[in-house]
Amino acid sequence: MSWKLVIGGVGGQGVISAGIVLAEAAVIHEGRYAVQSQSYGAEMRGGLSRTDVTISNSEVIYPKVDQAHVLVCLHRKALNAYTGVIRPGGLLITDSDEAPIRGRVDSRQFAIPFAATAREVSGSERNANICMLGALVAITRVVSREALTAALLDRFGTRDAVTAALDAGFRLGNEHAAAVAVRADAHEAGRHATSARM
Amino acid sequence: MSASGSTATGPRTVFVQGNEACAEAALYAGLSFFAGYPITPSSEIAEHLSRELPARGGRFIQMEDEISSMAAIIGASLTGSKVMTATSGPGFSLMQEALGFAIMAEIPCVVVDVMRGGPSTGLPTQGSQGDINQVRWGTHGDHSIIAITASTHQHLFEATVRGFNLAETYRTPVVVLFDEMLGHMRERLVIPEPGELPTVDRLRTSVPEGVDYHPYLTREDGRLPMSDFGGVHRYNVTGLYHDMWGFPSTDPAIVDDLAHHLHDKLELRADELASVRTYGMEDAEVVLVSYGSPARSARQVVHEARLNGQPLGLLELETLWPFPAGVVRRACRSVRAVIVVEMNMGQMLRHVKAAVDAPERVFLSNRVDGRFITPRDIRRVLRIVEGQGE
Repeated sequence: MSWKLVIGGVGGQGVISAGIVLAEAAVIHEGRYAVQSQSYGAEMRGGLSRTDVTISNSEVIYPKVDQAHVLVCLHRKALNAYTGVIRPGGLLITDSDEAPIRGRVDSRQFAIPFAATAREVSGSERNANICMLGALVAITRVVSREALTAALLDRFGTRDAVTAALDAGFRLGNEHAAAVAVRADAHEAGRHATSARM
Repeated sequence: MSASGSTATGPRTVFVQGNEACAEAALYAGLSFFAGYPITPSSEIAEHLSRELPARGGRFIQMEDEISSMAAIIGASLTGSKVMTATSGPGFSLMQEALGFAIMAEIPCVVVDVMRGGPSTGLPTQGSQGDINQVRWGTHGDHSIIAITASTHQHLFEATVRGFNLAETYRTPVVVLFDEMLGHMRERLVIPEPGELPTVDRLRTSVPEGVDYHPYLTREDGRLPMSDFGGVHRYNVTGLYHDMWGFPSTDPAIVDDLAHHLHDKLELRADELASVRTYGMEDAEVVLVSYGSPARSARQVVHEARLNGQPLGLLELETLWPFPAGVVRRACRSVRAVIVVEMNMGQMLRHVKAAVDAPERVFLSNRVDGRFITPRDIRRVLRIVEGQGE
């Protein structure tokens, strides 16, 4: 199984750092394979920012992501630009304040207030990317929680703000994943009810 | 750079950019002098070496431009250092004159060209393979040169080490070519233990101090032992045609000998210098020929085709110059079609066509808009070639 993820936002949100940390968690702390790439250009200066990450148990041959299992959007510009990359039935994780979902996207959706939560628990929205990584890993288990924590600490050192944002991310991710599971159960039950009536 | 474990010995797994993989390989090969001028998308090579090379006892100099960078590594190589510079297209253009000097004076050096879109300043942050023929013929006059490439960080590491070995063995500039995609993307690299990959030092003269040393007197095996400039021997080095003393000569016999020597020392060894990787070639009926990062897209297509039982193969070239014509001809003999996959207007296509028995069965799958070529791009050409429409 290989996971293909795209994380999008605008310059300064730490989108590329998040992609690197996620891939490092897989390669350095889990002994798996990963490729991380990014788009450069005008996008570096406050414009769109995107990183592609593929994580796999075997060698990653093609390095880009054309159809993502998971799309993460931390800004509405990214949501507008990248929804086409998500494969039907994939996961869409957004910042509920910064990138509200409008219109229909064929995906399982998680809208979580990363920036607001980061500000609240760590004192800075700059940790929204860390909060997002916590939630992403809680929802998908693309890497283990331990591996992500170790990779983050390698890069940023043990800082209260980092661990606070990460823990909040894990907690929010777990809550949202549980809620979606419950809704999916209800949906299943509804379908059975329908077929019983027929 | 993030690494698992911090032991001084043993292989190290790191997660790095291709540029860093190239720089680490240079250190592994014994690099002791780097001069360069930063340019996207190669700058991380200089950045990495500016920290690591002095820490390991070598010299790093940021020069005023690429002309002086090339000149500086030539001088340092003559004094006995293993040398490298790194640049991208616009800087590589500036290096052509001194590159020719290094070819003529037979000075070992490694030049890294991380390709971006061109001509001119082109597309600084996007990939391309537009410099393939510039590497071969960018500097004037009849000459030969070695150019190598790779498509993964692990292979790039090996290719770069090999580049140093070839430069030192054949006393020639070696160009390590890759593109922005590979240079900037990050992936796993296992840095081998010292000794795991062979590293070659140049042949040095056994002529003692006080005895005449002929810098350009070839041995019977065609090799030219060197003497560290500034050491015990005094000799001349020039870009003019020269005799065994290194002094200028217009003697037709001397000029003819040297012209043939510079050409033959590499061109007659094309098979020996050829490095290729093959995927699914055993029973392939259609062959993709690719090199550098587009070879990953090609390999993905072959991987998926093989899962469906389609007889598709990939011939990945790692030696670009001298062009491995013999290897290409043998690999493409009796196949239905050959598709060259590259990110330019067909620079390698013409050489593949010239090498194979049936050039009319060679096609091009390319991309020149700055985006990375996708498996889908290649499959579309494959379908057309197979008469299946788009």
